[in-house]
This record gives sequence, structure tokens and C-alpha cells, in this order.
Amino acid sequence: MATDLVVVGRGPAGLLLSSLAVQAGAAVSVVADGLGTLPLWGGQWDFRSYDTDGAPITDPYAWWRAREPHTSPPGVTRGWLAYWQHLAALWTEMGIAVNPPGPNNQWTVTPLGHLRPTYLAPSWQYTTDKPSPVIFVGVPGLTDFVPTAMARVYEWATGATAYTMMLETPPAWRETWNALNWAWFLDAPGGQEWLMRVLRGRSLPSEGPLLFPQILGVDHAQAFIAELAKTLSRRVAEVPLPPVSVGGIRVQRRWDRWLRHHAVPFISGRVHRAEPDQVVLADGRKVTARVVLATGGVLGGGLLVEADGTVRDAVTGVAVSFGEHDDLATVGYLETTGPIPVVGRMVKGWNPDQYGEGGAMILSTVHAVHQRLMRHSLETGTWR
Amino acid sequence: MVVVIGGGSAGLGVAWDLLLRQIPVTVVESGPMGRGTSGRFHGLLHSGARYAVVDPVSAEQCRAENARLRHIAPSAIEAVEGYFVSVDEVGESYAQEWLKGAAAANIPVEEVSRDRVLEHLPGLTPDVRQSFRVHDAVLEGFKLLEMLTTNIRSRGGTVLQEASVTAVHTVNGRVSGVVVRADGEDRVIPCDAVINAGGPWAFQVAQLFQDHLDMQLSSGLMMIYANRMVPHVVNRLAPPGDGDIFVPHGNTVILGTTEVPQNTADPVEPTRREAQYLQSLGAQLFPEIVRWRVLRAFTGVRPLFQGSSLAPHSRVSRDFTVVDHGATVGFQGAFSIVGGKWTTFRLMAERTGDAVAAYLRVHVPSTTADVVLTPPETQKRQHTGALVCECETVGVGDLEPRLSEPLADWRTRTWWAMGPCQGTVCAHRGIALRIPHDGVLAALQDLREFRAERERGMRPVAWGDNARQWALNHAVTGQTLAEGAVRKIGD
Repeated sequence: MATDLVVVGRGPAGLLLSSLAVQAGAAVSVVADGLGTLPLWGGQWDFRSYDTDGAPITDPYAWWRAREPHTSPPGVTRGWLAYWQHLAALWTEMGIAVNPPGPNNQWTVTPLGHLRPTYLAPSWQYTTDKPSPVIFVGVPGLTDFVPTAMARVYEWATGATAYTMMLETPPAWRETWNALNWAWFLDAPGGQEWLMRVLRGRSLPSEGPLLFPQILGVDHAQAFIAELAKTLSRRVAEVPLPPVSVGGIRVQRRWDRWLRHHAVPFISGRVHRAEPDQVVLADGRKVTARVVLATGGVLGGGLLVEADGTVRDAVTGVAVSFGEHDDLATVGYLETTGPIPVVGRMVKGWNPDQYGEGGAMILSTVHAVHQRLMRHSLETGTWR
Repeated sequence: MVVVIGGGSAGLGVAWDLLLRQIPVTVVESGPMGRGTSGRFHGLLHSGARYAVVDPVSAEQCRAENARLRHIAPSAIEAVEGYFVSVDEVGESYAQEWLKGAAAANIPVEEVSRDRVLEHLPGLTPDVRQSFRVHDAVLEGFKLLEMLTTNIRSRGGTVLQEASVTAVHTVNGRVSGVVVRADGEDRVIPCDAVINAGGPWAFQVAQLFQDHLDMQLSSGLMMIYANRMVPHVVNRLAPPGDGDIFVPHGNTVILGTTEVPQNTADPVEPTRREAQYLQSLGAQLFPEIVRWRVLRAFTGVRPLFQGSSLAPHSRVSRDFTVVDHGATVGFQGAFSIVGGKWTTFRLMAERTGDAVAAYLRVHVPSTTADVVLTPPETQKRQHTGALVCECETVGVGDLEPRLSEPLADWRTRTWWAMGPCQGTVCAHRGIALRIPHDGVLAALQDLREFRAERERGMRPVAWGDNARQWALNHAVTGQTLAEGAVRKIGD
């Protein structure tokens, strides 16, 4: 297979690195044995959400500036804004509308109705710079999004009013419907007409955006949300739900399509062995090209935890942590630009789940590796 | 009136026994039901075979009680049958002695061929030499605790949760009442006798009677594997030791156990090292266990009894003891029930009831062996309404009738959040149901405690697939739900 670069893994880090390489003119192949982790998330990217004492951070640039260069993740000194602007432009090109990255974190609402910071989010997701009155619109049977409970928490947390509305069930509805069933129903004209009709028949509270669970369609959600907003003369946005998460599925479908349009093949299979210039799949297939691992951490399956607590790279078998005394929440790679480069949020010593810096880790590792590959390509005339 | 301190199997059992003798009772439990040893065991209803050699009295008691519990609480027992298998020479030579002991205790044992046992227990080591079938079964402890609670209440007894006895009053050396603290307020409940059924906390409770119970506490680790990998109880045929028993429980199987002496009555946190050790022992019976998906680990505290401060007490078995503190230290009307096991809880309750009834001069014999417990309505699972817990198919209809119960009881009574995801995608759903009922702060506090409790069991066994589940749990709770950072904006 004639390819310059083979990226193992199709989570956000693998797709972003593939996109950068494609834009730089490389021929890229993606190898993955699963769906990747994007369907687990709503699609937002965090920069740094909380301080070490758990207080939300307003200006993440200032937070990072105060730490550079000594404690920032590998490869990062400056350039955050350019990385975020690149991601926003890339998404826009794929058809994912996103607000231009600003100086500050935005607030977004959780399924329990409280606020948390995020940095870059697709425009279907509700974000705001200041808490204000909102309307939670629930649908029957979706226990992830209970408007009455969310309103209680929202009012407690913000002091702003939260109104609630419950919709009825459409004729096609079954008690077993989850968020994805709703999303596919609302992705088609019949479902969209049903929701439009129901909402037109309701009188809305006088103030506040309509906040739905993240179910307003899959491929057509953006257009449908815009149409709802126009018809109702009200801002309409969504709250992302726990997995399986429709927002991440939307992002993944668009991103996959964009890469396929740029002639990137997706090879399905498990990598058995990796060398800097070749991967061997479990069924014996070989792909010869410069290898980048984007296999994820413990969650993604790129790092395997053994019974005694040792953590190893699932492909190379190299241990990144030894025994039971390391904190599993912060295991990861100390060095990501070795002979086989690694990209992703699993950077040793950082805890993205607790502090909300996963997006920053992905950006920093991806750009660090990309810049190295580019330099090599410019110097030698080949990506290998 | 008799006050029973402790809402585990012993406390509820003796309360039930006394009620059936027409003696009014109040049970005072300091936490949720079964938070102690009764809620932290492997779920085995003993046939008695396990004790055939080491403790013939217990063996005989287990055999008899096994049959009685099947009669009085059939819905809390799953009659899965059990096997004893020998896998090495030690086991093979032990078998002769063991068969003799079983025969002496009238425990039915049926030899099963090697081919047959491998057919019934897929995955069992091919090293199996001999195997025998016995009447082991699964006892659903939480179900039986709830059944006892509701039956006690429906007969006019009182069961208080999240309440504790802080003092015992006497008049002329005889118990006259207790001080009960609940929600920060003290009140006196007049009574004629008080029973200490504190399990591992019995030592602390006995101090209220100015007596000293010499307890020998030991911790036992158990591991839960996701999927019913073993359909029957499997015991290693050898002198009882660590890691020698598998008990299927619902959709899971539990591997037990270890024995580590400990000083405190509170269960210790499981460790990775001990879990690894336990699994390595389990692998001697089921070698593929290293590829099974482990769910969580938990520990229970065995409250073994050494003696009281003064000699005279009626040692009714090597296994459990009723202490009359009137006889030991002159504290008339105070009794302790210590030691024992779930399988014999009814017998313990009967013996304690005999002592207390005699003290109260109530000449009514125990009838707990014959009175069938009525399963509460709420135990008929509805599976109705929107799904909250997908792993264990618990619906809104199962939880809404229980809004006034503590969150911990939701888990143990409906099995909500007990499945492979350990609440990753359903805990916030349950909490959302509770917020309008409990208020924001109380519900969110419950959620934090719930997560911490699940974490304690998941983290030590976060390896293989369970490590990924653990990581998903952290990612969803930390990021999507941002639970660690719930606070008022501007605070």
C-alpha cells in the first residue's frame, strides 16, 4: 500500500494528526480495530477547566502562560491560539459550525443542570459566557435529562431562573428509545415536522434559550436547530449527554467523510506489532509507512493495565508505569516524540478527567509530532 | 419492649423471633440495612459440608438451617446446588475424612463423575480428580434483610435506620430504657431488655453495658466477576482456606475469600495485592479466570468471639455465643449475640430469643422455623417506566416507590448501579429522580458518597477490561457530568 504515514487509532488525536498530515500533502492511512472514542463525548474540547483546588478557570491562556515552559505538555511552548484556530477552521470546513476560539472558557450545562467550563464546542451545544435564564425541554423516557431536577440544580448553582417543559411522545416512540433513537427519528423530515408542530402549539416562557438533550438529529442537526431557532424566534441549543453521545457521533461522521474525501483509507484491524516504519496486523497484513500511534490511554485501549498495576503500551508492550503505586488517573507517556511517536491526551502526570485539559493534551501532542514529521519531510524529501 | 441494636441478620432475626413470641421490639440500626457483615458476604447458603471436618456442630446446624430457610424464605434463595472438587493429592486424601464427617452430620453427598462435572462446570480445571454434589445454595442476603424488615414492621415492630443507641438506662441494675440519637436529637425509648447484635461492632456496643467482649476480627476479601461464569457453587475440596469458593449471584459470580486479622470493626479497603493473590488461588479451580472480567472487590469483617470479661456465658456452639451481661457483670436485661454466619442466623436468633424470653418470663416458644416470611410488594420487580439502569434493567417504576429510602438501599434492594458499569451511566439518572424529593444538596452529597463507594471497589481490581470501565467511569463523571466540580458559580 503506497502511503507515507500510517496512523493507528481513530479517536480525536488520530483524526487530527491525519488531517494535519493530509493538509501538508502526505498520503495517510488510518488503521483501527474499533470505532474510536469520539462517540463517548459530546464533541467539546477542553483547554484547562479547573485549577488544582477545583475552582473553574476563566482565562486558560493565562493559566498555561503561568506554567510554560517547565510544566507544560511535551512540545508546547507557544502557539496555543494557532492550534485552536486551526481546529476551528478544520471543523468549519467539514461542516461542523463552531464559535471562533476566544480568550476565555465558556460555560456549558451538564445533564445534572450545573455549569462547567469548556473551551471549544460545536455550535449545537449550549455555551454562554454568563449564566442567564434558560428553558430545559425534556422528552419522555430519557432519564439522562430530567428538566425538573436540572432546573433545581441550575437555579441553586447560578441564581438564574430555569423553566421546564416536557414534550409528549411521537406515535413511533417506544419505551426503549435512548438518545440515539431520538436523534435518528429527528434526523428525518417526519420527526422534524413532528417536533416543529409540537413546539408551535406550546406557549414558551418569555425569556431564555430552549435547551434540549442532545437528540436533535445526527447528520442534519445543525440545519434543524437553525430552523427551529428561526421559527420559534429563540435560541435553540443542546446539552450533551453521557455515552453513547450523539454529538461525538456527528463529529466523527463528518470527520471520517472529510478524510475519505482526502483519499485517506480506513483499514480495519488490530495492530499486532509496530516498528517505526511498519505495522503488522493480527491477520498478517502489513502496512509500510511512517508509524504514529494514536491508540489512546487506558480508556481508549492503547494502554493495558495488568493485575499487578503495571501499565503497558498495547502495541509495543513497553511499560509506561510500574506496579500498584502509580496513580492510574495520571498514567501516560513521558516522551511522545520517540522513534514511534505517540499522540493523545495520555500524557504522564496530567489528569484530564479531573482538570479538563484533555483537548490541550491532544493539541499539544499532535502538533509536536506533526512538526517533527514535517521537519523531517522538508529535510529529506520523504515522510519516512 | 425489647430494643435490638444492629440491623443485620442477627438483629433483624432476633427481632422477628421475639415479635412472634408477642414481645414488642424496636431495632436500631446506625446505617443502612446490612452495612456490616450481613451485606458483605459471598452469598453462600451452606449445606454444612464445608464444616464436615473442622466443625461438626456447625455442619449439623447448617444442614438443618439450610432446609428451614428454603421453607421460610424461598424467594430469597436460589437452589443452585454446589460441588466440592478435589484438584490435587491434598484434596484427594482429605476426601475420605470429609465424607465421614458429612455422613456423621447427615449431610447428603453425591459423587459425580469427572465427565459429568466438567459438563456442568465449563471452565473447571481438567486437573479435577473427584467431585461431589451437595445442597449448597445462594442466599440473597439483601433480599432477606428487606423481607425481615417489612415483616417485622407489618407485625407492629419498629425498625429505625440511621439511628444509634448512645446510652442504656437501668433501674435497680435492670435495663429500663435506651437513649436513641437520630438526626442529631436524643430520645429515650423505655424497654425491659436490650440486645447487642452489633456484629463486628459488638465490642463497642457492649461497653454500654460496662462489659468487655473479647472479639477476634478478621477481614475477608471477595471479588465479583461480571457474568455468571460458574452456574453452581464450587468449593475446593480441602481444609477450608483462602480463595476456595465460587458462588454465582445474579448475573455475576463471587470468588471468596481471605482471612486477615484486623483491629477495627469497619471494613478495610481492598488492595490490589490481595485481590491479585485471591485471583491466583481462584485460578487453581478455573484457570481462565485471568481472562474473566472482574467487576469489583469488597471486604467483610468476620466477628469471631473469644470470650467475655467474666467466665459464665452459655457457649451454644463453636460458632456463635449468647452473652447474658446480667450473669457476666450484673447488668440485668442486656444480652449480646456474637459470631455466627448467615446460614445459621435464624438459629442464633432462636437461642437469643430463648434467653431473652426467659428473662422476661414470657413462656412462648420460638416459631421462626415454621412461619413463612411474606415477600414485600416492592420486591416484585416492575421493570416499568423508562430505563434508569441498563445493566440490571431497573426502571423508573422500580425506583419511584422507594424515594423515601436511603440511596444505599436502592442499590441493595433493586440492584440499581450494581452491574458492569457500576453506575457510570445511571447514577446521575437515579440522583435526578431524587433531587425533587431530597433537595439539591442532599442528593448531590449522596451522589458523591455513591461514587466514592463504587471507586473503593473498582480501583483495586482495575485491570484488563475493568480498567477500561474504571477509566470510562472517571471520564464520564469527571468530564460529561463534571461531578467533582459541582459548586455555586461565583463561590
